[in-house]
This record gives sequence, structure tokens and C-alpha cells, in this order.
Amino acid sequence: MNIVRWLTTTNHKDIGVLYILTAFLLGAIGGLLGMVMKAQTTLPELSLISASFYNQSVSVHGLVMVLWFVSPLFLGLANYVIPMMIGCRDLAFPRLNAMSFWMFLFGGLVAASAFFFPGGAIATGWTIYAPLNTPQYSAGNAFGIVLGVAGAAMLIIGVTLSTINFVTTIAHMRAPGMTLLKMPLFVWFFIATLAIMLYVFPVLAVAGLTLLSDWLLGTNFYASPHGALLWAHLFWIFGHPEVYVILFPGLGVVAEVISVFSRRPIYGKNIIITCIIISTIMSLIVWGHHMFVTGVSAGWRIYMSIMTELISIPFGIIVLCFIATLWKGSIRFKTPMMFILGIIPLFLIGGATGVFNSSAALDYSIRGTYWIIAHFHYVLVPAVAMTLIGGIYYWFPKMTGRMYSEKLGHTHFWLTFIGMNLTYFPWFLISEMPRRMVTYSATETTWAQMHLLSSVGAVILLLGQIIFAINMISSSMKGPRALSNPWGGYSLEWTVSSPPPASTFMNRPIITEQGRVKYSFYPTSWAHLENDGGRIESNIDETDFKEDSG
Amino acid sequence: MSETSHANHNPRHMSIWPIVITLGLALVFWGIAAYLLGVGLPLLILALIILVGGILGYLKETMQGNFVAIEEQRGSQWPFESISKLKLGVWVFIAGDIMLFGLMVGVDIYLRLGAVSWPDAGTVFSISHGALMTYLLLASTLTFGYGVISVRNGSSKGLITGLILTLILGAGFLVIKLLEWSELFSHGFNLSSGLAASTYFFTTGLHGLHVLIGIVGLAYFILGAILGNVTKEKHETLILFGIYWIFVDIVWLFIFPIMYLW
Repeated sequence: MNIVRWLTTTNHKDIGVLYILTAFLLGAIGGLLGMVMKAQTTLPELSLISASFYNQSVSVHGLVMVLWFVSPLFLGLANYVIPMMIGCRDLAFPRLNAMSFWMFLFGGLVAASAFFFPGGAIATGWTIYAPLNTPQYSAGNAFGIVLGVAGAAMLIIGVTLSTINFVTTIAHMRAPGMTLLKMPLFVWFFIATLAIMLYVFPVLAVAGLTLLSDWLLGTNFYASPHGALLWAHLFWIFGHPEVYVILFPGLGVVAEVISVFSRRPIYGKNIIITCIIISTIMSLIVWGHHMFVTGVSAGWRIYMSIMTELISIPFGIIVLCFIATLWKGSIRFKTPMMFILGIIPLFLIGGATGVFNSSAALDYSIRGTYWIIAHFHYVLVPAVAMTLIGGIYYWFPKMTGRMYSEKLGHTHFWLTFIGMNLTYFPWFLISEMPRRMVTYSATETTWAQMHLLSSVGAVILLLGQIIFAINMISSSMKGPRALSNPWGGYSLEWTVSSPPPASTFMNRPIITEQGRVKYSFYPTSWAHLENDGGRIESNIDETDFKEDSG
Repeated sequence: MSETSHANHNPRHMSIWPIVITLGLALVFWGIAAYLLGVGLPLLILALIILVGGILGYLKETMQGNFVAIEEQRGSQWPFESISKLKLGVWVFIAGDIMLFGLMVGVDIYLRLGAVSWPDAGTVFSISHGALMTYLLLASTLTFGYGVISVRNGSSKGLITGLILTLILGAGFLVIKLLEWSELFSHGFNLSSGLAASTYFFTTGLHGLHVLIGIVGLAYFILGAILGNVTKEKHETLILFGIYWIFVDIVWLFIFPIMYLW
């Protein structure tokens, strides 16, 4: 555990762990900012924090949660398990992988450091709309915007390097016999994420760099007559596909967990893969539904409306396949499975309310209100955060070599499930209240009641996450030892010890035509494995591997 | 056996340079912020030293072979059996860069079409300068190709000549660009002179930065060729660099007509 090792490591498992720790560190900052906002709006006419700090909290909460919490969380999981799942010992370019991680961490620190500069952190809302983002209108917020965008630029470098790395790894380093269709669905969903990231992060780069140049070099992109619309286009060409970037890895975790914990192969694997490809392409051409009120033409609005309604079809099919996997399964309600089953109804609420938003006519009245916030929290919190946390529970025994406490895990799930509904559902009921309001009049009694209810939910939610942190920390230190395959998982990472040795596989695994795993030969001694902290429980000669398409 | 299993924790699989480069970049941004406060110049200079030092360290580590990535035996690679790992990585990067420049040119066209007035072709940006720069870049692909053909025939002299000519042509491009910029500045046409200036300076600046990175790469390969590291048997990275260099040239072929001739 020496510090030099962690600073210079290029091992995909070490970096995966670093990503996950970073994600929870920065996610905690984002979550606390959310709590600050919730405290401020609990009762009408409170003034716990200044309006300026409220604006900073709104903006930083949004940016941190989307860019610096869920992104490193899924990249951490992907770093840790994808090389193992496809049967290779590391990513294609380990040094670039290390660089990606540090870009994430330092980018986050650069953006967050703006709190300590005059004017505070970025306060424009997480969408950083023009022309509010220009020197003409936000002169007092200079450090927030410059450092926020600079941090995002570092993150873009990191993401781009990661994309190159993972695409090359998955394309080029699969074990013999690991054909594209034999890859686990987590890998397939992640490929979709990679494809979208490769397409949209350069867009954010163009938007961010032009904005930085407006601030630092004196160019004039966003104060120009078409600047506002230009920013909206660039931001949402990035921003809408970004929703799918963070959604897909979560769905990948659902696919793994739901199949393992119902002891059934995933239903309709090839159908799911087809839906992934269709929705990946469609996700790139629906950004206009964020811009119905920006003065774009009527034909454009109709096109974007229809495309947005269509894109819910492949996701509907994917969810139906997940539910069909449960059919006649032998379901075990372990914590990862609780999280995964818990999100299905929540994701349906989030998805169904999304269909309302996609209608341009309705959007005119509900845009910029608490309805929208309720909608995207109902999508992002269950389908992204809760699924990925389910993934953390699922791979926790593999990563630490120890079991978490099932009791605390269930408590965490129920507190999260109840707290999350109690926090966000009341917002649907105050759909006439504009978002980003620091406070509101005491005459609005419904708003006050709903916000009080929502604050109670937020406290429950926070309580759940504290239990999660306790569980993770104490279990990783003194939980009972985990077997190499505690869940009876089907994919390759479960054929090695928990935690895996530094370079995972002694010999290249080989996947047979029938989908079984063989190793080319077995070493005569395991002695040196113990130097890496790895342990082998049993000499599995041949392991069952997931059969395709049920 | 035991060496491979320890491969991930042995010194040849660890590197300090990723964190140094990243720290340097973060310090550059903090330095800029401190500079805006009026105190940051020393920090900014220190940051640039760390950043450049980190990049040089990274390249040195690569050139001396002090970092070894795990090589896997050939597995299932469909449909990428015939392309090497590094080459695939470079093409994925180029795909991202195509998006970057595609979007940038798209932004230029979008703003141009929406603008009320725009300077006519040839009035602000000299077409002859642009044409000269185009010739220089196109010629540099030719000399680069000469270098590659030479190394394939085993002539290191031809390789070095070809690469040095390429570097001179690339540097010539940048020099003319800078002269053009300073001429524009002296006429009072600077980054704040409206949208035409914004799009022109930003797009050509972004492209110029790519050319500058290419020149650093050329210097790296010239050094490698002189030290005898680029040979007939071992010149894959040179070919990969060529993909990047020619891509940067092609980008200019889009920027030139949009900025100078339209």
C-alpha cells in the first residue's frame, strides 16, 4: 500500500479502484451541494445561503453529478472488469489509461477550486447558456466559468484517451474464441457508450474551447447575434447523447446482475444488442427536444418530437427483455439484485414522463419547471446512480476479496428507494414552480408542503448513503473472505481469485464454440500468486460460461 | 512465468509521467486564474516547465523502451485482424479529431450564414498567403512520403533528409501563419474584431496547434532516426505519425477555402 505505487500505477485494476474512490469523493461533494439546496428550499422565505451561493450550488451540483460522479464511476467499473471479461490482462495503452484518470481527478479539482476564488464557482446553471456565460453578462463570475470550463477541458482529454484505449482493447485484445456476440452484455452496453463518447466529447471540446477563448483571448463567439443558439446547439449535441453515455453502463450492470441472480441466461441477447445499436444512432439526432423554445423552426420541432418519442421504443424493448429474463428464474434477492429490481419501476416513471416532455406543445408549459427536474432525477438517479451502485455491490467481493454486509446493503437499498421517491416525486406535483429559485413566497402553501416532504426524503436518502459508506469501509477491511465466484456469475472475471492477481490470468483463457472456458495449461505452483495478495480457492478445470441468447 | 504475473507491478510497468503531465496542465489553468488576479506569472512559468518536462519525460520513456505494455497472444480480433493495435488506436483518435474539426468548421459556416455582413474574399485575409501555406503543407506530405519510402528501402540518410525537409516545410507554414497574424494585428484586426476575426483566429489557431504538435513529433522522429531507432524493420510508429500529419494537412484543405476563398 505504498503511495508511490498508487501515483505511478498503470494497472487497470488499480486505476479502476482509483476511479471509483474519486467518483464517490466528488459525488459526495455534489450530493452535499444538493442537500444545501434542499435545506434552503425546505420552508418558504428562508435565507440560509445567499442567492449567489444557491446559483453556484445548482450549477456545480449538476456538472459534478453528470461529469465527475457517474462518469468516473462507470469508467472505474469498466476499467476493473472489462479487461477481465474479455480475457486480457490489461488495457491496450496502460499509460494513457493512467493519464485519463489523473485528467479526471485534476479536472475535477480545477473546477471545484473556483469556490475559493473571488466570485465563487460557476453560477450559470449546469447548461452554461449563452449569452449569460459571456464576459459581458457574468463578469463577476469569471473564475467560476474559466476554471469550470478548464476542468471540463481536462476531463475531455481524459475521456478521449479512455475512448481510444477501450475501443482498441475491446476490438483487439479479446481472448481466443471470445467473438463479438459471446461478449457479456456489460461490454456491449459499454461499446455503445464508447461510440457516443467518441462522437460527442469533441463537440463539448469545441464549445468549451470557444467559450474559454471568449474569456481569455477576447474572441466574440457567444455574445454575437447567433451565439446563444450556437451554444444551445453545441451544448445539446453533446448533452443529450451524454445522457445515453451515462445510462448505457448502468443498463449493462442490470443485464449482468439480473441474469446472474435469476440463474437464467439473459432473454433475447441478440435483440438487446440490436436495440443498443439502434438507440445509439438515434441518440445522436434527438438533441433538439431541449430547444423547443429557442425559436427553431416548426418543422425541426416536429422532427425532434417524433424522433424523441421513437427512441423510447428500443429502451422499452430492452426493459422488456430484462423483465422476461426473470420469468421462471430462480431469483435471489441479494443487494445487487434489489437495486436492479428496484430501478425498473422507477426507470419506467422516468421514461414515461419523458414521453410527455418530448411533445413540443406540452414542453412549452412545463419546460424550466420542477416537473423537468423531477423527470431527469427519476431517470438519472435510478437508471444511472442506483444501477452503478448495484454494480459496486455486485463486484465488491471480486475487488476487495471480502463480502459486504447483506443486512446493511438491504438497509441501504430500502432507504435509497424510499428516500429517492419521497425526494423527487413531490416535484412532479409542483410542476408550475420554476426551477432554480432560491426561495418562494409563503403564500404558496402547496409548494411549501411538497418541499418539506421532499426534504424529509432527502434526509432519508442521505442516511442511506452514510450506511453505504460504513458498509463499504468496514466490509473492505474486515468482512468475511469472498470465494472466487460468490454469486455463481457466468463471465470470465469470476474464474479468477478474489481479489484477482495483478495480471489476472496465468494463461490466456480460451472460449470454446459451446461457450465454455478453458485455460491453455495450468501452472504447477500457485505460490507466487500469494505475493500479489491473490488467492485461489479451487482449481476449476472448466467453468461454465454464459450461453448466448436464451 | 512469475515475471509475467508480476508484470503489472514491476517498475517497467509503472510510470510517473501521466501524473506529471496532468499536474502540469492543472497548474497551467490555476496559473492562468492566478494571473488574472495579478499574481500568477511565476506559477504559470513553473506550470509550463512541469508540463513540457512531463511530455519530454513521457517521450523519452517511450523512446528508450522503459515502459512495457503487456502483449497478449493473438486472440479473437474480428473484424480488426489485419490492423495493428497502435494503428487502430491512432485511427480512433483521428475519428475524434475529425469530429473536432468538423464541428469547428460547422460552427464557422453556421455563424457565417447567420451573420449580417462578412468581409469579402481577399479583402482581409490574403489569398496568396493562404495559397502559399497550402503549397507548403501539400509539399510536406510529399517529403514525408519520400522519407517513408527511403526507410522502407533501408536508407536512413533519405529518411533523415525527408523528415528534415518535412519539418522545414511545416515550420515554414507556421512562420507564414504568424507573419500573417502579426500583419493583421498591425492593421488593428485582432481577435476582438467581430465574428470573422473570432472564427478565423480560433480555427486557424486550433489547426496551427495541431501543426505545432506535428512538428514536435517530427523532431522526435528525426532524433530517433539519427540515433538509429527508426529502421527498415522498426518504423511502425513513423507510419502512424504519418496518418496524423497527413490528416492535419487535409484539415487545412477544408479551412483554406472556407477562410480565404469564400
